[in-house]
Amino acid sequence: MEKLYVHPLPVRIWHWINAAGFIVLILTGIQLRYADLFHVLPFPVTVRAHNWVGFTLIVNYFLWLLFYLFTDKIKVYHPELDPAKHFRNTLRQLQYYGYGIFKGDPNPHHVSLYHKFNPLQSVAYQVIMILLVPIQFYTGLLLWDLERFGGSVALFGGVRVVDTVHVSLFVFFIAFIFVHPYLASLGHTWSAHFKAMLTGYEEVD
Amino acid sequence: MALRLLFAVILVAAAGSARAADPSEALPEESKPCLACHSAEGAPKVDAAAFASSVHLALGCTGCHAGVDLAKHPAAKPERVNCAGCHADATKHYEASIHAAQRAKGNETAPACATCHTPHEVSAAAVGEGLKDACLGCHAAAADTHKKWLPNAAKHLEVVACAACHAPAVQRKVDLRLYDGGGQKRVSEDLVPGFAERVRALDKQGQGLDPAQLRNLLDHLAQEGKVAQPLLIGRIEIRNGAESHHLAGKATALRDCQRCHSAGAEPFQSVTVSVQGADGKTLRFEAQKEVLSSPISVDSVRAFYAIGGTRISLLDVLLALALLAGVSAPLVHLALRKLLRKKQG
Ligand code: HEC
Ligand code: HEC
Ligand code: HEC
Ligand code: HEC
Ligand code: HEC
Ligand code: HEC
Ligand code: HEC
Ligand code: HEM
Repeated sequence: MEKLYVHPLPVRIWHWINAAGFIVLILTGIQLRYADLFHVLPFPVTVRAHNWVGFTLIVNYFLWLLFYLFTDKIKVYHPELDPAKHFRNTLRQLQYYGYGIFKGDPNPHHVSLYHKFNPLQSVAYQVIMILLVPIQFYTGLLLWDLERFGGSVALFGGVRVVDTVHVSLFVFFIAFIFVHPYLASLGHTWSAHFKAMLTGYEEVD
Repeated sequence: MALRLLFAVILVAAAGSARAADPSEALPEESKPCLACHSAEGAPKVDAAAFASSVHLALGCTGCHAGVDLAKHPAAKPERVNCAGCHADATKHYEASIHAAQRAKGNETAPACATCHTPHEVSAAAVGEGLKDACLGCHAAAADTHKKWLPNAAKHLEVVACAACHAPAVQRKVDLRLYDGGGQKRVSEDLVPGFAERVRALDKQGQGLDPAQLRNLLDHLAQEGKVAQPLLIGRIEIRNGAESHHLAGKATALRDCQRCHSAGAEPFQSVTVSVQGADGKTLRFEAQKEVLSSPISVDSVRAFYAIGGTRISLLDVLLALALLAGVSAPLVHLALRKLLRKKQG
């Protein structure tokens, strides 16, 4: 077994702040929307908690973004430029999760310094981090102060549209928060990737 | 008292249709001598044009200032105006308010009828921001003190009538006001002739506009093109306007967010759609409360949404499904892995 340093410190710091923040946002978000069903904290406290954790994650997001923009680590997100090959790799990865894994086949993806993600991860993480998460932050920011951002709210289509987008993505993140750790548990041992996300080192053959 | 109001209503209604292009032309005859002096130097001035566009136009000056004998006036001063004679209901609630209590204690800075409703320019209560500005004129600090405990305070003061929180016993409702050009200006009946007929044609059963009918109405307005980008902006108001006067001390004010921000909250059980009538009054049309929570309304009611209270039910279903899928997909996958591996030995 060889050890590869795949998750640099800034990414790990970003990741665990983000993960903890998301969990708090999901819990407080559920209370805000379903105050009649879940009533843990007083409503105004929930609003403030949701807002401040949201701001923390927005700042934290830039840690991730700037790190990748200003280091050569961004290569881990470089797309496979040959579409046929990319498609083939994605299919193989899907096939593995949906079939091969049950037979005990080996994971078709091999981690290396600049290839820490399999093609599914690479695409999914990019869509999430460059599209979904920023939209979630932006709509959250607008809802925080509807008066100050009145012009932007109107451009977006009105407060109900802003909220509907915010909640729709929320729905997605709720599913994500269960599926993502599960997928992360499919390393050579269940805890391998979690350890890697903590220490930075992934063990490879 | 009731007879006097009935008479006055008939007068106002008759004048409403006969309103002339130059508003001061429409003044009743017996008002003209009054204005001859009261729009010139040397006598306290009354803005004739503003009065002519007020709800009280048809009453004329003498409707309120009864018993002015022109032979003896101005030496003989008219009596103080008594609004109560015609507005018993509003007066009853005002008398029970903190303002009336303060005046009774001799606090002359607390408002009487004519302090909030500038007497010669009384417009229909639900028009514009005039009345809210009157409150803030005396309670200037309120804009800031609410911020201390109320997030989005400026927005709340804009979309929730002060009395909806400060007259705690009232019943509330949502009025969806029709605006022009992305919320610039309220739409008046003149701009959309036949609006009332169209609403009635859509709402055949008279049960209030349902979400599809409301969308239909807005689509039609947009197609017609007279209203550039029709927009409904919601506002929480008092079902019975007269009860807005029943203002109480701050200790009893509505502070519990969940009175609005939770499913089935009382303010969202009654909904109207309104345009400004040609006579300055507000024309309201009933809508079904589902217009606040139907997926069809995401566009038509796009400028009104209160978290928790007006949530879209379809998203609740999606959320439950996402939760179910998120939990069960990993579990099923895990179970299959264990099972199938065991079989292979
Ligand atoms: C000849 C001119 C003239 C005419 C006509 C006239 N007024 Fe006046 N009015 C005055 C003047 C001058 C005063 C101010 C008196 C003062 O301050 O002592 C006054 C004062 C008033 C006041 C205030 C009284 C107060 O308590 O301060 C009212 C109300 C009023 N007029 C109503 C009317 C009405 C209603 C009419 C028509 C029916 C009318 N006036 C016709 C000249 C006139
Ligand atoms: C809706 C009732 C109402 C009508 C209609 C009305 N007034 Fe008044 N007016 C008042 C009230 C209320 C006051 C404040 C003093 C009081 O409480 O008596 C007042 C005060 C006045 C004053 C004294 C203002 C001052 O600055 O001291 C004048 C003059 C006056 N009115 C003239 C008129 C004239 C002229 C007309 C017709 C064009 C008219 N009013 C119509 C209710 C009315
Ligand atoms: C503290 C300010 C204030 C005072 C004082 C006041 N009003 Fe009002 N009044 C309001 C407001 C605000 C509304 C608007 C209610 C609404 O939005 O429908 C209103 C509405 C009204 C309406 C319309 C009610 C309806 O059915 O829609 C009448 C009539 C009225 N007031 C008469 C009076 C009379 C008469 C008095 C004196 C006894 C008085 N007001 C004192 C603020 C005031
Ligand atoms: C002679 C009777 C009479 C007197 C006195 C009178 N009003 Fe009115 N008022 C009316 C009539 C009639 C209307 C129109 C009502 C309608 O169309 O439903 C009206 C309408 C109003 C409205 C608008 C109501 C709405 O539905 O939005 C307000 C506010 C109002 N009056 C306040 C006052 C105040 C304040 C005074 C005292 C300064 C006063 N009125 C004195 C007869 C009177
Ligand atoms: C002419 C000035 C004036 C206007 C206009 C006015 N108020 Fe007041 N208000 C007072 C005064 C004076 C008091 C009693 C002293 C105090 O508590 O500030 C008072 C008390 C109150 C209180 C109780 C505050 C407490 O400390 O318990 C509330 C709530 C209130 N007003 C709301 C309103 C609303 C809502 C409006 C508009 C519809 C309004 N006021 C318009 C002068 C005004
Ligand atoms: C969402 C409900 C809500 C709305 C809307 C609202 N208030 Fe209040 N207001 C309150 C509560 C609750 C308090 C008591 C705060 C406290 O005791 O600290 C209060 C306090 C006040 C006070 C007492 C003095 C102070 O500043 O603390 C005044 C005056 C007042 N409000 C005026 C207004 C006016 C005027 C409007 C409309 C422009 C308005 N409020 C809108 C809930 C509301
Ligand atoms: C009287 C009803 C009422 C009360 C009480 C109330 N709100 Fe609101 N709130 C509203 C309405 C209506 C809106 C919608 C604004 C819009 O459509 O632009 C709103 C908007 C908001 C928003 C912005 C997001 C959104 O829903 O559009 C927040 C955050 C919020 N309220 C928090 C609170 C908190 C916290 C409290 C208690 C301290 C509270 N509200 C009390 C009626 C109320
Ligand atoms: C909902 C909030 C979360 C988001 C948006 C998120 C997003 C991401 C992203 C983008 C990466 C790639 C990191 C990189 O760019 O280098 C990653 C990796 C990882 N995440 Fe998360 N994550 C979240 C929550 C969690 C949670 C709650 C856990 C575990 C309990 C977790 C465990 C991991 C692990 C182990 C990795 C390592 C890479 C892998 O094999 O997938 N994440 N996550």
